[in-house]
Amino acid sequence: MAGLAGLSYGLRRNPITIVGLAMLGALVAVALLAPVIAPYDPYATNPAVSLRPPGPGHLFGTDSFGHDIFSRVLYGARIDLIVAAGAVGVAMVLGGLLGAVAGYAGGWLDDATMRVMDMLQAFPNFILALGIAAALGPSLTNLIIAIGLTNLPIYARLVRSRLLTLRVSGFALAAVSVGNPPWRVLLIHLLPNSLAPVFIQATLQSGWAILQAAGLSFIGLGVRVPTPEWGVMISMGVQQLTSGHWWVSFFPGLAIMLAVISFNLLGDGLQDLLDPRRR
Amino acid sequence: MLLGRYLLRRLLLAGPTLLGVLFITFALTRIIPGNPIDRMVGFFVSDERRAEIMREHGLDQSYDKQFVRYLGGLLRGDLGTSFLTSRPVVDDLRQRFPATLELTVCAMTIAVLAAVPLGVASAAWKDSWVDHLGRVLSVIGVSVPVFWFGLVLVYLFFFKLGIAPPPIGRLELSVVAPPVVTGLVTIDALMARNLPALWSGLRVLALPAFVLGFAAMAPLARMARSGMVEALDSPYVRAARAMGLPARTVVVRHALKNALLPVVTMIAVVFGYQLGGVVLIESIFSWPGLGQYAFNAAANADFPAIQGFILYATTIYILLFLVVDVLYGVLDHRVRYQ
Repeated sequence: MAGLAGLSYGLRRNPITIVGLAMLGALVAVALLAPVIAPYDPYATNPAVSLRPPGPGHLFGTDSFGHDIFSRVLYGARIDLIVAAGAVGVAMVLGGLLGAVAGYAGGWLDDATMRVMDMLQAFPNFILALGIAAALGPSLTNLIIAIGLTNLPIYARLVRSRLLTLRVSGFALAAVSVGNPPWRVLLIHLLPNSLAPVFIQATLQSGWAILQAAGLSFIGLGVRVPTPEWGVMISMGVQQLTSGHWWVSFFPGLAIMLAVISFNLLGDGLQDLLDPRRR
Repeated sequence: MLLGRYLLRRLLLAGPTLLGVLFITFALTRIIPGNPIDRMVGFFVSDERRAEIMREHGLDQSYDKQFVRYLGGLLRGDLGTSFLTSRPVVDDLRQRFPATLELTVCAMTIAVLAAVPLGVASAAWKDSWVDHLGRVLSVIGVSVPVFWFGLVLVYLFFFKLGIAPPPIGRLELSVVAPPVVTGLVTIDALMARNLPALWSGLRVLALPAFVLGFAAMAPLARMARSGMVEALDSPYVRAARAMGLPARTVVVRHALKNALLPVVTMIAVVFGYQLGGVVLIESIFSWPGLGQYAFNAAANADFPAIQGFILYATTIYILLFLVVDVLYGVLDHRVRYQ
């Protein structure tokens, strides 16, 4: 809140946030550099080396098709980060705009928008995503839409409640009184001032989005089988687990957990920074 | 009297939301690319036969007529017929409900029993090792994919160590099942004085309930901790301390009561996560509940079943929040039903 100096001071006082940031940085690096680091093509099957345990040739072993799991986990970072960023982006932009219009306009527009948000939030989160994904059919885009839509009300509420207080604050009234049109007040003066909590929520929600994406893919409603997505990879190892081939499901799950932890640590830390009372 | 009027008002307010929920669920099955009939009958039927089936299901009518028809069916307790089991969806759901109830109640009990002491201890000894441990467990709990955690534990405890029973349903194969009375295996076994079945039922419950409970524990513990931190810092607790009451009394008798209120709300929220979690966990443990039903339905594009499951789960979720609101008034006398 208090600019970069305040941010760096806060970060130094809260080392866990830095750990989260570093982990996320590593994750993004892995996603970007996957083609360089990965020793194998993530789609290349090789029946001769199916179900090899982790070892020097295949760091994380191979699955029943002979895919190299290490390479697939690396490429998986790309897909899961794209889904998380896409879904949270959809939710943030659409939800934020709806909330902004509702909070600024007030009246029936506000009531109508908020009732629709109530309806969306009446569903258990994952189950609504499941319904939308089942209706749209399994694909990467539909996965993003399903998770984006389910998480949209959070941002709508957040922005709306911020705007309700900001709308009557001194600087907003001043902006109105010097003759700014409403859209200008909203876009230039009010929205930028309500973004900090939105971004923190987005960070926390990204971890949640990865869990949802993996869960939906695991039950066959997300991206489809040979795609190197972490949830799909876990589902591909379920059959092998009870015959002792633990590595097929283990490593992708570990990757999910580390990715979600990085988002949660960073989000928590940022939240503490913004609201020191929470500590 | 006041409570009755409050309940009525809440139910009336829930009406429009529920109608919206029904509309969304209805709309979901109508935006499916392609016709659900195609998936139901396949492509190898004559056009006349197709038209006939469309008429039978009312799919030749306009959307508003279909929606009214759908609502009418719901009022009569008709959720349609599952493509997969060829049975009424309501019967399927009713039959599978006890298995999920047993699992989620056990999971929630484990979660609350672990979360409250952990949260309270974390707050009472802030920044101690307990607090750090609690923080680490919470972060892992909200970050671990439940279905993966379930698989890892099955591998460890069933395959490697051989302690846990195989993940194949609610009883081990060697045990004679008790007669079905409540549908809850442990309760039925207890009523039939069938101790081997009770023991087996509990053994089989242990892993899936622990996995679900662990995921639910994290948000509850956080809530208990932050509520407790706030309560311990409040004037009345400081007053109690200043009067020289022992720390134990202050924490347990004074602070705890107020700290636990937000935890009650959180239980309802967490229950919503659990309804999603059972879809993943039940399929791994072959648990014959609602989650496995939804899993099978999703895998086979069985839309009436998916729709029925979503409605069922959402209704439970909405009712639970109603219960929590009422409970609030009972627990906190400052809350007035208006």
